[in-house]
Amino acid sequence: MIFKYVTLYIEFLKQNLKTMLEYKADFAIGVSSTLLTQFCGIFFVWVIFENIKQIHGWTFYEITFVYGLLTLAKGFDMFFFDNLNALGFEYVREGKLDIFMIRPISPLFQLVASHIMPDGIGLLILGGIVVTKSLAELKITLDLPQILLLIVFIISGAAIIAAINLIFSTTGFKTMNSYIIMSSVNSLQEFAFYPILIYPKFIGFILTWIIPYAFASFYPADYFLHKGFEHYSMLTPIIAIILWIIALRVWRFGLSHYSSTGS
Amino acid sequence: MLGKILEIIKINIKVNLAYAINAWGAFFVTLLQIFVFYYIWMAIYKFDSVINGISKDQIITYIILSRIIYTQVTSGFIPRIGRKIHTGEITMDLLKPMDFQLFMLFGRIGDFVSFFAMTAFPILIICLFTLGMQAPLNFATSIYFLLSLFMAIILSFFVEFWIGLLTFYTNYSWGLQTFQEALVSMFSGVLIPLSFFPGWLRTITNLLPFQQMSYSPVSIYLGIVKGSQVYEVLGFQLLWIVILFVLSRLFYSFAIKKITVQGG
Repeated sequence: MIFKYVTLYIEFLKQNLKTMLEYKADFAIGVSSTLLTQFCGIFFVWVIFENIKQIHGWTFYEITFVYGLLTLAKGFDMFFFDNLNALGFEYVREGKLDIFMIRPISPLFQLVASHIMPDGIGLLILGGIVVTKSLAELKITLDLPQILLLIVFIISGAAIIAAINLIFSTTGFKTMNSYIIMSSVNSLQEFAFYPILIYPKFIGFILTWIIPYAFASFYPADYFLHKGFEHYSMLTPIIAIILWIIALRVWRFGLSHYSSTGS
Repeated sequence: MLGKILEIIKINIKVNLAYAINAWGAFFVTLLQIFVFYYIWMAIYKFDSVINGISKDQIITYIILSRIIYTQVTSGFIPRIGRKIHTGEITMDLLKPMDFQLFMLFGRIGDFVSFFAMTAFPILIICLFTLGMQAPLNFATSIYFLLSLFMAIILSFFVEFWIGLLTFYTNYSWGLQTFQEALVSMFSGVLIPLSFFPGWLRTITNLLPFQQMSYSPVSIYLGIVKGSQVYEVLGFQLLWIVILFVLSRLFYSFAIKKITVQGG
């Protein structure tokens, strides 16, 4: 079963990569512009630190480390799960979902696998550079288990973002356009790019327990930065798993109430 | 002519009303961003009440105004031009007895009017009561601000139009839109007042048109520029409009010859 889906995904991926390589100019524009947009946040923090020494007791590279972790998580999510955005206006509205439903594979799998978003690579490049540079400047050296842990954190972070997107994408079954709701929820990520300690308590609470984006940035980062929230860091993979269980239930509920537009 | 123009503006307002959900999305996202940057700036201003000649109260108003302007000048106009080119819809526009660029410009003004009513105005009200906003210094300042804001919108139209025409060469207008957003974020002063920039970076921004989209109107509003400097700023905006108009015109007449509509 799992083996079948893995081989299938690799087949999908091959086709997607072919498309990606076919449109080289689009690929270059997409990757560089995504990279540049995400870089703006780093640029902002950099200019601030040209003027003052520290923000709320945080140094420049501590902040960029938090920023870089979320950038990586967001990059993986964007690369693999971007098609969730299109559920409403492309698959439900145009009736493409019907094709998925008559095939003997999970419709969710087909939705996710049938498209990858090369622009995510821009985020992965930027995030990789920022995280490496920040670790080096903070003089944090990682041994092998810690490197593995960092990878687990990043994958969990991506899974958290993807699960939240999946939950809200299901509104597309009813409204045929989930994009606005999803991008509104996504914009909560903006908070998580910076240490959540600078916000009032209720925002920290929301980002921890309601829409837990802080588990894709601040909490895993604190495992290495030691600002007093290390005990939360290890919850990261658990939160990711719980969110996926919830998201899959919501998806099944949405799908069972789906009626084709018939177009 | 004026009747025609008003009609185009009216149609665009109607379209925006029909898709009110977009306005709500923009409303929510912009408001959220204002709050993110509000808290970050409050952390920055924790130990100082004035940094680089800008006070804590000024920075709050600065964030609110510049974030709203940012949402407006990155509202997805480039993919709209792109779609016209890809679907071949542009052929219908080219047949119309009005210049294509002017036609799009008036449409853009219609967008601006509906944006103000449906997105900017509610945000301003909420911010006024939650974060607090400074009123303009005096009546003359508010007039100069509105004039400068209007020029900022016209100017950003020409930038968008210019970048939008690149879709004659690539099919990926969303990528171009993202690219424009990055340039605006960095050089328009949306993220940080330009007075925070180190000298060499300030020189670069002075050579680019982006600061005219946001920093100019907002700094007039806040009185960061005053007296005869205001005329200087307005003059520069006008100059950039002329430059970008001529450039986009040249590029337009060059690119339009390239047009090959794919069946349709």
